[in-house]
Amino acid sequence: MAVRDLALIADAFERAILRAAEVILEGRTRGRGRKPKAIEEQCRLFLVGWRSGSAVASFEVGPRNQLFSEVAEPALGAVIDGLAQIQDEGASLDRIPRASRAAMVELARLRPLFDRAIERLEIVGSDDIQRRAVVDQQSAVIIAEAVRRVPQPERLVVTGRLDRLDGHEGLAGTLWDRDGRVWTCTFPPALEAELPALWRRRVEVVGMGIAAGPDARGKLEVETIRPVEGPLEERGRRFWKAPSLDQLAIEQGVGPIGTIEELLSVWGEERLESDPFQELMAERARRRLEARAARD
Amino acid sequence: MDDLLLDTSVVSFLLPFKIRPEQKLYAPHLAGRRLILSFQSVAELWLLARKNAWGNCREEKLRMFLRKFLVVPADDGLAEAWAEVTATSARLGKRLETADAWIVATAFHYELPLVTHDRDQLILQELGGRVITELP
Repeated sequence: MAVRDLALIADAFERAILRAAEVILEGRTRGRGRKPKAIEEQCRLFLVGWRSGSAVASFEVGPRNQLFSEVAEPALGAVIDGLAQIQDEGASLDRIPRASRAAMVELARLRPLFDRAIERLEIVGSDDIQRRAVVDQQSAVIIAEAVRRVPQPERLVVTGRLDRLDGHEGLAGTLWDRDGRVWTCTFPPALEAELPALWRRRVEVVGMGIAAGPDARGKLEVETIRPVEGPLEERGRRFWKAPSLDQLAIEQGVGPIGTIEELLSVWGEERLESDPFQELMAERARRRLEARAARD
Repeated sequence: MDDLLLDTSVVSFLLPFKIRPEQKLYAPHLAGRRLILSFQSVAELWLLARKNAWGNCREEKLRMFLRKFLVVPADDGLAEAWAEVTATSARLGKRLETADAWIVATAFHYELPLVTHDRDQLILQELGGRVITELP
């Protein structure tokens, strides 16, 4: 077996496990804040054995710690299960779980191996992962063809509500568009100062990305962002971030009065039939009585 | 600039009924000030208009009259202040009715002196606020 083929296999599987791990972590609260570096280390493959003949390579994935059972083990399981489903059931890529599907994108690189006298790759888990899968010419073609159909990044304009901002792993945010689809937005540092004011607001973002599907998040590398709000949203935003009295006074065009004649002059010759003060106090007394009765 | 929050009771002295002595008593307090109303006072004034079937012409004058005041709407901070004054009043053994509490909370939240002719709102003083009144 050529060394470059062994390197290709190891590299493709290592990346596949990492991709599956990333998808698995997206769906969890715990572990979401893990540093990418720690996840990457955990998903690294180590060549720990080699037997000649049918070329049996043994790999270990990451160190055996808490992250192993949380991340590496389920990710490796997703890789093997995805391959098994394609091999045994001829399942197409869109019918296997998302973590497995993400892994297959990396394994599509194995396709040329089968043109170089390699007939099949057999992946056998050990210890806690008692599962096996086979990649052969047929399944490699299925994977490669399906991956070829994976959408390529394009220029997109998306309008939605910027709902979550995360500065832990680069500047990222979650946007919900009007059709209920979810987008993961990555922002350049130049937009960092603008983002807090746009949080929980309806915004239009423009950038390169892959469109969201009914069961898959969209991804967008944001280039520009701007608020787009209707009157109702503007009021809703003002509830949470109220203007000062001075700002309100400017908006309402109100200043100090000179004398109360300025107020009284509005009424002209109007004369009310009943005393408004007495009516007001009677109304308040009625309300207070009702409130007291309700309490008692 | 001196801001004053006017309770509806004091504003009612500025409505076109026969001149009440209280109008003259409060006039010096209001002159030269920016006069502020809670949204609750606006609602109470509209209730007076609707219950007495003022009609379009008089209602239009009410609108013009209200435009002379700075009206404070409800927001997150005011809602918290409402809860604070309501809960503190209860601890002091004095119940503030829901609508009254919005006006007291507005004075409390914005640290505005409250000009009132309603004894129930004097509780603002016990909450650390300032009240201006000509009540006997």
